[in-house]
Amino acid sequence: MTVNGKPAKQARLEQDYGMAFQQAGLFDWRTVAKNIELPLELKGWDRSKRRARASEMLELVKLSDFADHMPWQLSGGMQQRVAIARALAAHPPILLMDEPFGALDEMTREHMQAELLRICAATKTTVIFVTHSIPEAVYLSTRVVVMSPRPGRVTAIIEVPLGADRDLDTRESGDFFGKITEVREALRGAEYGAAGHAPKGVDDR
Amino acid sequence: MTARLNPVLHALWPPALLGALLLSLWQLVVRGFDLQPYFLVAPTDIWVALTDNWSNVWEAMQVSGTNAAFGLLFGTIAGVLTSFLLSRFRIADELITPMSIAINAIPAFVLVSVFNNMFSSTSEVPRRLMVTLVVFFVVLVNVAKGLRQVEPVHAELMRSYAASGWDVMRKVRIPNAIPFLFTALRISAPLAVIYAYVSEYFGGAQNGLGSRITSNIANSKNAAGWAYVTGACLLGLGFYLIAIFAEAVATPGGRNRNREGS
Repeated sequence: MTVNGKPAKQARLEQDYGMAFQQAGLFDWRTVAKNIELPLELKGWDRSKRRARASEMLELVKLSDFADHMPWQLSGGMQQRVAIARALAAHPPILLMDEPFGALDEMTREHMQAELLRICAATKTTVIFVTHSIPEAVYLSTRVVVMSPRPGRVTAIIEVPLGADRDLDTRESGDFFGKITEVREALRGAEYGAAGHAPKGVDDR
Repeated sequence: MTARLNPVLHALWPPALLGALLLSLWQLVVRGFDLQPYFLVAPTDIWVALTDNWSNVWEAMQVSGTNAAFGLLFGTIAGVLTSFLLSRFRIADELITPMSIAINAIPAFVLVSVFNNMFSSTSEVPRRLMVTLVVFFVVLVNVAKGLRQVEPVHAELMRSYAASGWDVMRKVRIPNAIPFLFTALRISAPLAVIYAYVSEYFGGAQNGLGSRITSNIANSKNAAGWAYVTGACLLGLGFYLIAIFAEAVATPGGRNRNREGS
């Protein structure tokens, strides 16, 4: 497997991607700004350069007023935005996100999805986003990859040509629902395919 | 500042009231049942003995307090350094942890007697060594836990940054262990004082609070004995307050309020 033409390990060592997890994973003992500066510290950036980039990232995620707050003073959605800002601080070409909005309530989640689209458009970052939510997958993606449960295999790749400017109307459009149905059926197929080999409840790993 | 003082006062008055009530009850019982001083001394008599002997009590407090302070300082330093070693080198962990548990299982007074044999009878070193050992284990166990118990998401994050072991130590493990260190200090500060007293019962110079309490009681000077007990309480309380104060200064604004070391 290669990432931007490099082996996966080399891509990690060279910091070709940022990562965001289901938990924000912020450090309690660092302010919001210092949390964003962490990856830059590890890269050996000097202080003034780190400061400048952190405030730039805070502006991007609209949290400039919270630079000196501690993470636990922020709501879950705000913490997750800080985590995204941290993941993007070094301007990696790729951002890997593992169910980053899974722990958020529905309204915050839709808001965060819109924010993510805006941030990615602004920074021209490619995002690989893992989710269990079909509408989330369709709304965020230009391409949805459906995977089967145990063993994890790619069972379908679905293009989502909903355009670059997606908003609330996109969520209510017929094309959007059509794509949701397509992904759902692909997912069903993947599940039945796996069930064909092994009855439910039996693990054949 | 007043906003921070008020909760302190608010937290202080219930135990203060209870203390005053208990002292009054004690006084009433001693006077009411006409209890003799060799059985139980009245608080007022203790107060008189304390003010009469204050310079002697203060001197004994300084002796025991210095022993406790030395032990607390060296025990903390040794405990922190060893826990760094343990978390950095797995082999050290496997070597030292079982040994420290074994040493910890030896009753304290056995060690004081051994140390007394090793050093001259007027030396304070055995007592300080004893306190050092006790503090060392409390600090070692807690700080090692703090260095090791890094949240999985933080470990994963540092891995995604391709951070070196030293980076992880500096940026994650050490800050993570700081609340654990203060928990250890809060436990070991009063322990240090207690062990400083106990170690005085096994010979050596008769200059500390522990030995003064026994000698006064043995000579039927019970009120004076109680005066030294009061001094011992004050010293223990002082050490505890210093530990809490250090924590408040080092972690302002209730940092890490959600994740306290146990």
